[in-house]
Amino acid sequence: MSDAPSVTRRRAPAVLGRFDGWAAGALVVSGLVAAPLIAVIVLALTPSDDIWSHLLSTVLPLYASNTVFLMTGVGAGTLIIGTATAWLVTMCRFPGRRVFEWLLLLPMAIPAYVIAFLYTDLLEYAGPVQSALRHAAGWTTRRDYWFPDIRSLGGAIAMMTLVLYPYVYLLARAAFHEQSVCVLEVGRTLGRGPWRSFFTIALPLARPAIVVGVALAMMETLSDYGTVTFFEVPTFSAGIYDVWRNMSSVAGAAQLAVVLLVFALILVAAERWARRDRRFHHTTTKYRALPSYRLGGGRAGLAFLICALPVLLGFVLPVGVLIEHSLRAGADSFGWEYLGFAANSLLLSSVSAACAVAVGLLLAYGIRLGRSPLLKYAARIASLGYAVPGAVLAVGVLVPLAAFDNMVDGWMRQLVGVSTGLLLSGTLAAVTFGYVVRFLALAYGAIDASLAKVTPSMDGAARTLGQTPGGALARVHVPIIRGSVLVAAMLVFVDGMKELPMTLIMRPFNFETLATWVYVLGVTERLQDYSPGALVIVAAGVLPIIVMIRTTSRSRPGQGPGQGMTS
Amino acid sequence: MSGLRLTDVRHTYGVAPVLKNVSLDVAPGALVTLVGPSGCGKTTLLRIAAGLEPLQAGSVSIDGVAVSDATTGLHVPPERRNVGLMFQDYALFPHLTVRDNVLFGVPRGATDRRAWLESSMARMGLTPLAANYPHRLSGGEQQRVALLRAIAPGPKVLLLDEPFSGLDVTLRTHVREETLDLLKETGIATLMVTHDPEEAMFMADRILVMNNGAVIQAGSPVDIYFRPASAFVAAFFGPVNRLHGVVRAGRVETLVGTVAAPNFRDGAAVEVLLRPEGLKLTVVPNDAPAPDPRPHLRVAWARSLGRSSLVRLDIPGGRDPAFLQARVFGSFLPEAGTAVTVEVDDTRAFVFAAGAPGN
Repeated sequence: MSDAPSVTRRRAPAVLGRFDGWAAGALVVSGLVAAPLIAVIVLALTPSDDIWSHLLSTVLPLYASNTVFLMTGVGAGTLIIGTATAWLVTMCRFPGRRVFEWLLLLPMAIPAYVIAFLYTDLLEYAGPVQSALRHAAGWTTRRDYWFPDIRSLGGAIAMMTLVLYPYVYLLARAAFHEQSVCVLEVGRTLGRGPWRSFFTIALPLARPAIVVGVALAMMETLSDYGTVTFFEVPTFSAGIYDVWRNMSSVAGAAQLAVVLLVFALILVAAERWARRDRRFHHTTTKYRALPSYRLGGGRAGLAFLICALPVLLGFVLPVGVLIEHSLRAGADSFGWEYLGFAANSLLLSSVSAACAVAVGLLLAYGIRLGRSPLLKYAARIASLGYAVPGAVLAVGVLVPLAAFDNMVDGWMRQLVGVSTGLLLSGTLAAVTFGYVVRFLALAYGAIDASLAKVTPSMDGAARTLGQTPGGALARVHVPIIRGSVLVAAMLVFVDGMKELPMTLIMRPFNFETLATWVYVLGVTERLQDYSPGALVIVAAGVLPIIVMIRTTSRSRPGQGPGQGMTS
Repeated sequence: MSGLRLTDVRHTYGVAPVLKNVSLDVAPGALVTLVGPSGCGKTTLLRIAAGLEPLQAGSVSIDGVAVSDATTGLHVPPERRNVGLMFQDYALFPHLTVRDNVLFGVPRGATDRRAWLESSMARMGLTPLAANYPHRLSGGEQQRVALLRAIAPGPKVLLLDEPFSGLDVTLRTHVREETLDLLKETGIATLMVTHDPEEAMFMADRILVMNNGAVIQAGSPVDIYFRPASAFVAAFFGPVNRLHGVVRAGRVETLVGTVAAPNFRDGAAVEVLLRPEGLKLTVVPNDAPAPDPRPHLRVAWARSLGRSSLVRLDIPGGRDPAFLQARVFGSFLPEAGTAVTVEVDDTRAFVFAAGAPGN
């Protein structure tokens, strides 16, 4: 029959339904991730002391108006800066364009609270700017001139816009890149000038991507705690912390959290709607060099200025100040204390990153294997965490854990007469869990998108060649998507390094991360003391940007490494 | 029964039935092709045999052992079925070299198997490419790697899903022969899916024709081509001229002569399918001495296709069809308007009841 020796494999019949261990695991994980959200809602609905009417008559209107104005302001600011700079660097040619393409991303690396501290130091009455003005103009007192107060709603909008516009820039630039050149050229041949084709063709085509970018920037705005408390512009995020810590009202905090959740869900809905809409825009596979409007003289100068200002104000100036103060502080500030906080940050962020990636992988692969609609909904809920502000999640994680601790404590005292105290709440495990819930969407999104590189027939090939689902994951999927898994881990790591409100609420007693330490010192305006810590956070934030630049420049259409790899 | 056996397999996606009671056998060493238009359920059948698609009704056995049974809920996962599957898109692992792709399913200890694979790679011209990654290979090379990878672990059953559809026409005939040689050498029970009837006839010991989720005819290539069970099969395996007629005393009178229709009662309305190569054309000389009893048809045009010529004949009087197509071996290029008589080759003429199911 044949001269081919055959490999005999043991055959053991097994029953394998569609709902296997992977699917079950994915469901359990998404249930765990959704638990804090459910907890917040249940808590808010639980009747309690009359805190709500008290809140309503005192701080609630202020929280609401601050939140709305802040979101609107940051939304408009990021929309204008992000879209304008994206258009300039993709469609026009002017000196420095190629460098600006990635420089414009850098402000993303700086947490809003850090930039708020720095500009307060620069722009307050005793700061260098006003001092210089007084000196130059011969003014002597505050009453001699008018200068805007940085610690205000307007200041908060400016600070957040400066570090959040890259979200819009990134997505708008990608959308402009994707646009078919032909569409734009048709616009030109039909007699529309560059400006009119921008407003009538390019902008409407990129609108879904821009909406996603603005929604992401607004989610970050909602979640901000450091800037608004420092500027004394309390929003819901700040209010939750205040009601929780200073009024010790769990129900009140939960009720505020639910209001905040409603804002977040509106943003999620807007983002999802825009993303769904976006699918219809991929009408062509033709990519050619984009048309470049060569700008000359004054126009080139203006374009340069428009791109340079955000980079200068959002990155170069703050980082320069941080470096200067770190150098001035010298070796003193890099003591044991500092190293301990840095180690805490590294540990918390890397453990969270590893967990989020593992969970994201389980979720994405479980859904891929199961193909059940139930799992898809579970994944959607599980990836809501990113939109949910840290303060809301903190309440949702801490309250159930505290209840659990009390229950165990009560049992143990009854049964053995030993108090177990706090088992989970106020532990690093709780903080890590909070991080994973909040940042899972980042890891899951990156992994899920890159799993598309593995075609379904590769799954089939691995299985018929003798691999179990787990074996196929280890030998085929993970090696193929390895790069994206690393990127996913890095994104979570960096957001973990920056994270403030959750850590402040949930951390164990006396536990400091770089972020909380920088915040505590920043509030008391000890610039020299927090500069080194802030610099480390910024440096960590620059890392994923560099990787992102490298991968996007490599994955431009037509330059991909493998024609057989894309599905 | 060893090899592959599927019994009464049914499958639905949502409410649409994809497979309706399909049963088939592939003996060891045999090559069976499943042929049919796209969307007729062929690929689903392969996936069910491989265990990649859960079985909804029926049963599957491999080498005499049940691997799927809808009544008992038995489902042996694909990795334990001893089945090789080659995908239409090849599904080569992009992160592995050619050699690692081929050896993916072979245990480390299987040294004689590995040696055989190395020699097969050498024979197929893959050894110089062994350290390359799949995206650097040509389509034909990728096809060879995918085939070798599928048979590498020594499966009892090999399933091929449109194995040649990704290749251009000239390469396809060559790769097809090479593949057939390799499969005959290994003696694996092979089930191949294709939508190309010529490919099916070339490769198969036995052909199953599928349409709308059911096997409508099974037989040898010669059976299927010369004794199609329905007008659909006849038309699927090659171009046909469709004429209509009524049976009188076991024969059908058509425009171009009578065709035998032994199994029809008198007065039955039938459809007559004539292969273009089954029409023999004779040019009627201008000065024909006696009136020819057969009807004359006029040439509309004639085209040379190299090995053969294609001739279109007008049918006058607004009838259906309005023309006939004839294929004549060699160069036969009468001018437009030339009168010809037509003779029908009975082995290439098929009669079916008009409006029969499956047409």
